[in-house]
Amino acid sequence: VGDAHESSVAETAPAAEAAQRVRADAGPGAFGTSLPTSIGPGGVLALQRTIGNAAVSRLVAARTPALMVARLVDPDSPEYVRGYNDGRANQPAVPAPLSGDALANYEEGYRRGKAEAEAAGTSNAPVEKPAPETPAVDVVTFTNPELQQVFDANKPGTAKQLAAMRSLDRDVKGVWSKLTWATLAKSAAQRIYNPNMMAQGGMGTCGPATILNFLGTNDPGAYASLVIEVYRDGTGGGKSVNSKLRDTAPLGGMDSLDWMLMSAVQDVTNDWYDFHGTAQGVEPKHEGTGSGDQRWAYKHFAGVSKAETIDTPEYKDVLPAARRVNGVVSTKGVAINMHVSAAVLQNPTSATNTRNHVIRLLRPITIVENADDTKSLVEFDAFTWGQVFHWKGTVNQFIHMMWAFTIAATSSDAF
Amino acid sequence: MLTVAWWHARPGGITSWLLVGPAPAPLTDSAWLHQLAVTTGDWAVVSQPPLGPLPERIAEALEDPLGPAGDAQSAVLRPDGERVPGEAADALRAECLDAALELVAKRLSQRIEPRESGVVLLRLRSAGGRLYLDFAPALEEEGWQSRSVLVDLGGARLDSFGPVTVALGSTTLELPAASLELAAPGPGAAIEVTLPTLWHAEVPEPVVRLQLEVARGRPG
Repeated sequence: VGDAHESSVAETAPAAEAAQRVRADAGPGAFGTSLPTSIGPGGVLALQRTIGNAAVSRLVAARTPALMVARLVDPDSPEYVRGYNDGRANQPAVPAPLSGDALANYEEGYRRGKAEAEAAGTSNAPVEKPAPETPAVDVVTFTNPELQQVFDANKPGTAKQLAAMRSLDRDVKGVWSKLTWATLAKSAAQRIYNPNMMAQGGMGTCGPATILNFLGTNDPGAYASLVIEVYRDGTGGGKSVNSKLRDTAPLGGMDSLDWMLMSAVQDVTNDWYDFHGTAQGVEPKHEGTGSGDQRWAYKHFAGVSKAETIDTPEYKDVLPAARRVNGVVSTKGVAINMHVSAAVLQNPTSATNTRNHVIRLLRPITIVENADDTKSLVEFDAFTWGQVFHWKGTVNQFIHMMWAFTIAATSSDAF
Repeated sequence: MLTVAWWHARPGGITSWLLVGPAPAPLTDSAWLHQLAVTTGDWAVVSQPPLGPLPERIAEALEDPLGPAGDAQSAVLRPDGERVPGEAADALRAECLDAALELVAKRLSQRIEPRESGVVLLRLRSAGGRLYLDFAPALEEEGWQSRSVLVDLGGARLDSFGPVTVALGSTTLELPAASLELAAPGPGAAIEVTLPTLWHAEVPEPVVRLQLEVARGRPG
């Protein structure tokens, strides 16, 4: 039970390409040109075979982060070969109990094997080692044209993002009477590549927003699976979403998918009250999450195994806590929630500092102390309100805004 | 506080989009820019993230935004998304647009990665007898278009990168930008941009065909 948001009841280079010329006209699809080429996963796989894994790893380390994608898929790994042979045999995919890069290897191997079997029109015998794959750039296709559009605007992305996109590329019958799969699938695809566009609009669901943002960033496949589960089965992590909510239209001003998922996470997280997807203040006892709720929701929805809240009730508590979270915020699989005053977040000079909002820290906080507070500086980027929100103020303003930090991690030894 | 959408309709679609309304929860009493896609001055400006606050007088006006309409169509929307009969005042649109451009300029002046800004600026530029589409902010990176606003370039990749100076409202900005040479020089072009669809009754999808014109005699 809480107030509007955070509860105050329980606790206060791409590859060089030749210049392309495109035509301009006033008709639909105003610009047209040939598709570009780039070093995608297929290209890097070819490089691996030519110059070896170690050399490619050095190359990848020196290039853009996006090339990390290709390093995730290792065609020589046993998981890739197992997936490849399952696909070649036209058998159902059985990736369990794999996770992380091993899962990505299996899924990519399975995709390739399955495609080859379908192209041949028959199942194929297993092999010890798949034949080198012909580099295939820009040939990723989806049956849903809107997914294709989103992929084309974001390619190459990561192997995990691609796998998540493929899981959305089908028809799903849902139990939400006012929503359609076509709308939800398109929004989910956009969020697989841009999780920071998840927006709570007028709903008091900042806590669920942070959990979903972390899930979409850390594990896009699990995010896509949650989208499907909530829509198809009316459950979130196996727990039922109330039927009144499932028969309600989205709140005005919100994306339909954000509304459905944030409402579902809020409803499942609530101990007593159903949540009905209403605007902040309409059912005040039904909305909002305290830090304890958020720790539970991180574990239930986002694969977190360990979560801890550092309360900062006194002035002297804030900067040490900020420095502690700075040490882990860049660690993969770690989420940092900042429990703040929304008024000070919007306006650092605000005198009002009621604890009523939670945001997710994305990068280390810059802290420059000075005996003269007007010359001190705090800057950070956090996810909230459908964006990367940049905050800049003095140390005293930062302390005035902060109430607590929550650290959540998928690995119990991350902090 | 009510939400207001303004757009210019043309056969086959819309050519401008401005959406303003209440701040996101739990903020109260202030008004924010929700979405923007307009051509103004040299640059077309597209913005996705909620930005605010808008000036207090706009928040007050959004309590009762009905008034004489201009050439833009409009919809006044209740918090539940349902439409209020009548048109929003054109004078309010002009005021909102000016304030919106200031908020976008403020956003672009912050230390935010281009692809995370949620903002896209576009212009046509003539230089040396050739025509270019400039796109800002943009860095040379894989998946450079990976952002919350989809820009339809027909699959073309921007391949020339460098800084540009942008005057937006009362603010002048130095931004990283990309350029794309167009094959058929002409006085103008249309670029389609797609903003996220928010649930509202009886308003068009925010898929906007921005009409860009080349200012004659402008140096490259």
